[in-house]
Amino acid sequence: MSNQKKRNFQTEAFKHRVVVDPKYADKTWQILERAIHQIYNQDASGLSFEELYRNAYNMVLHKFGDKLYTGFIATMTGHLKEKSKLIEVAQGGSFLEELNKKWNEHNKALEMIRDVLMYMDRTYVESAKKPHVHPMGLSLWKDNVVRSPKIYSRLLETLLDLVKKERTGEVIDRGLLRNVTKMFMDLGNLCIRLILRSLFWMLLLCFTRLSLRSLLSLVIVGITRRKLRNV
Amino acid sequence: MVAAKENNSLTVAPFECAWSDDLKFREAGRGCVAFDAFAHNDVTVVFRENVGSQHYHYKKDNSPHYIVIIGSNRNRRLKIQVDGESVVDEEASDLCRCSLEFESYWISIYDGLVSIGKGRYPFQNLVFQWQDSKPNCSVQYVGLSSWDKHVGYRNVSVFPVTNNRISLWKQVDYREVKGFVEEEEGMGCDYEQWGLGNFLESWELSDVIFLVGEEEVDVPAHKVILQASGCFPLSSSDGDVIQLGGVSYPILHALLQYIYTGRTQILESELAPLRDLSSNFEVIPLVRQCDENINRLKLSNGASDPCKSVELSCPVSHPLSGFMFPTAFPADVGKLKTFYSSGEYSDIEICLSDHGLTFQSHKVILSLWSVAFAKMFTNGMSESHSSTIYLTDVSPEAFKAMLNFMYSGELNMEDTVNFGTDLIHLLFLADRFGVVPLHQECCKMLLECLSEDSVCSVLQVVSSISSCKLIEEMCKRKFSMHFDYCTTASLDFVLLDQATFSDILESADLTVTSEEKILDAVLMWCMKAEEPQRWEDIDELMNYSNPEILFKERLQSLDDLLPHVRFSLLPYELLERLENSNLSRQVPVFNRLVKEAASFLASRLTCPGNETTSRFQHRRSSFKELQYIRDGDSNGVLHFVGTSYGSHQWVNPVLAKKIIITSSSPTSRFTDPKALASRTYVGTSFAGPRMEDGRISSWWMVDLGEDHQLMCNYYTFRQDGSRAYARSWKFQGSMDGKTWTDLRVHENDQTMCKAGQFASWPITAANALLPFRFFRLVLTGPTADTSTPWNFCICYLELYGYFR
Repeated sequence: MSNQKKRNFQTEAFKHRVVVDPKYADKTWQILERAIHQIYNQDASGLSFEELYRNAYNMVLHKFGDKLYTGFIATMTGHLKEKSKLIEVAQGGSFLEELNKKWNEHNKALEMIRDVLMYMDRTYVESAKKPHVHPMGLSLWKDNVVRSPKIYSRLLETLLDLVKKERTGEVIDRGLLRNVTKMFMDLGNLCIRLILRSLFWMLLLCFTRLSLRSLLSLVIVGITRRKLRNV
Repeated sequence: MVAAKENNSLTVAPFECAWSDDLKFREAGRGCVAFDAFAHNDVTVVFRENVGSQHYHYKKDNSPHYIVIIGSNRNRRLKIQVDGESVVDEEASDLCRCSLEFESYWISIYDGLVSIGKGRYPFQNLVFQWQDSKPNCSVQYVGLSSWDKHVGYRNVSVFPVTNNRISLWKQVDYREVKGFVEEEEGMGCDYEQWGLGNFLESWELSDVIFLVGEEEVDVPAHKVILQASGCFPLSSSDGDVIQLGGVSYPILHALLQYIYTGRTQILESELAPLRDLSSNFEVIPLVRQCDENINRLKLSNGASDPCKSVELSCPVSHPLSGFMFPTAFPADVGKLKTFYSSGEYSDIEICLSDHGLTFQSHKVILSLWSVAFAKMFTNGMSESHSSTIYLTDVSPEAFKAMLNFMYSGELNMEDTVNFGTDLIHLLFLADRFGVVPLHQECCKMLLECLSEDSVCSVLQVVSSISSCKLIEEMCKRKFSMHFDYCTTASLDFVLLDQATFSDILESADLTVTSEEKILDAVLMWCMKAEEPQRWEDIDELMNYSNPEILFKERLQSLDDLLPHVRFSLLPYELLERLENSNLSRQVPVFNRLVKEAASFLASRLTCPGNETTSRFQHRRSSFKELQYIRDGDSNGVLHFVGTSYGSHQWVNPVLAKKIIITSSSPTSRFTDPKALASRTYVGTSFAGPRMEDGRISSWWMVDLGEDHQLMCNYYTFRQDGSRAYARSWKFQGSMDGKTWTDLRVHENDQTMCKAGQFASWPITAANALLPFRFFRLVLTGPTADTSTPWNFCICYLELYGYFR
């Protein structure tokens, strides 16, 4: 590059990038917060991805990454608390179904929120050395729903109950059982250890090998895959 | 002990070799090692499968290995040896800096492709490249060795050579912090691996379906990608279906995999049908590769095994250009460009709402470069079911450049007046949508364009982008090395944020003519000065004002920034003046620092104490001040150099070859370089005219040598015995001897009016604060003598200023 060009290289002053409005961060966050609510209410098809992405990007660019990150966690926690209440009140057999339904909803919402917050995930989260959005969303689910005292023990009981039922020859919803097991796998090591280990041995004792095959293979595959990945 | 590890550096004794478990390629046969070396000759790097011993020597090694010797044969040649045989022996004389200082190198090995380069950034400044015809893909450990002299190594680090050279750059950023490290596993970054491969047989964004075999398995694909790589029977309407009754799924899969990822694997027995299919659709590179493989199999017939699979990969024109779309893919760039300009197969209209411009594009092209776009088109929000998207806050020029890049893989910026602004906009755009290769290209271009004049504005911009750390560091460095200029030529620096400015002040490279300049700059920054002011001016303002009003919200910053000023480097008299100033009375930290420095100086005058804090140390790179006193004095640079920088009696520096003086006409009795440097009067001494670029030109030029520079603030010359007085001329400076910066322009200057007269002029512009290696006086108009109008008659020349 010629020296002449170097001399001519001028950049327009980017002063306009500096935020003057002190309420800027709050205003922008409100837009995003409203969007997260809408996503959880399964009403996302009217939202503009471009607008949300741009707002999240601008917040990070103007050094409000921290506000954005904590805001997202707080909002999501709120939603999960609500969900866990809804699951708690579910009666009898619909308990597992409700849990599974909410889990699916949460997953879908989390995916969308991750996409909107992608810029933050790539830059702010990396430099601040915080957990990424997706793992964070999973662990929030774990802490607020699965480990909520009213759900945790009931979940164990229900699963055991299902197993017993099958043993006595009743027809159970295997698909549901598989989905719930898969949830534990997605939630990762800790949950597997916490729940499945205790459940697993109990199941082994009272369960015929044949009907357990699907469950067993899933769990073993899950654990070994994780182990392998950690090697 | 072979290697004395100190501060991440190690020294390898003659005929020894240092190994470490850390110095290992993660993937055998592929990796890159970067290091600094300090040696007279023979920087020797060994690559082999296992760790060797301390007394390992490559001449005695029987197992397969690669050896790279930088500065072999007394630093004259570059050698590569494979298993004891020299395969490369190239002339390369300037590779080792002869023990002057540490020099950075990198060596990468990728399946037998050995690349060697200089500099801190792998894959930049390639010096030499060699491809092994029989690649040794098992080498993994790196040994650092020597020949007959000690070799010092430091900052050694090993990177994986991934198919994405960008990740290399990223690791470089924090390499300096850690030294001996291997990079860690990135946390769930599926963004890094994103590419066209993600769309292989994906229903997302697909607009054409293959129906394969008897069972009519449906396989989705994307028109624009197919058509760029070959010739498929497609209509421009939506929902195309291509029937392939006689083709089995694995064959089509191989074809699509080749198109979408640039490589595929197929059983030998299936080569022929794949060849037929690809020639049917005119995917020429694949046809050629199939043919090659079929021929090869024919030659080695009998031994072939139909169950063996063959690897087919798209020939990459330049292995180091990365595995970027579209260069490493069978897609034809020309075709892609026409699809872009014609909008054929386009499935998306992009509208820049602020500017009312629309662009026709292809979702899959945007998506393969950017995860953000991919999600925009697929995640179920309003854009996913719309054929028009609206982008806000996007500069049209930058967006155009980004689209061009996405279709061609190259960054072409028009050299317009707004070049700089556009480039910055593009950098922001690439960062915003996560188009990493484009971001990288922008950074590279920005670094090339970086000058003292633009560092401030660039710094302001990039400090908000976290992925531009490298540029930020370069800018800070440049700023601190040209501190005088950057704080004088413009006051943009007061707009920098405190962290950045503080980093610059703390930098070890900070180069300044006098410590007073740093004090001035700190005070100006803290009061957000709108015009250049010196501390005296500010001190005077204090008479009618107080610190709260002057410094406002940055008053607090004084406490943090003033300690970076090394008051003890100021002359004692000045310190006394500072002590009695308003500043000292009203700003406690100022007072404390001045007092501390004064007492330090007083104590050192009596007994030299130990200097512990950096506040009392001299700056590593300060300049020697050479002050103009009078015409023909002995304070100038040429005299100073003649005494070997103050170490002995004066010897003509031209004869001692310390400096080089040249002129526009050849050296003769009357054009004598050594006369110019001496103070003896010469009756006839001139530079005659020559033709340069079609114009008459006469000049005298001084070269201070590679390691020296001068910030020139005064110069003197003396007329010889003739009456050919110069009237219009320029005094210029340069770093490379080719491009020149005007330091002072004289037009019809009547100063010279006697034979043998001295005359001196100050350089007053901000350019006086830029260091230069070359200086010249060039005649721009005829002299006063009409008979010899283009003889530049000078018999003595002297320069003054800050020298290093």
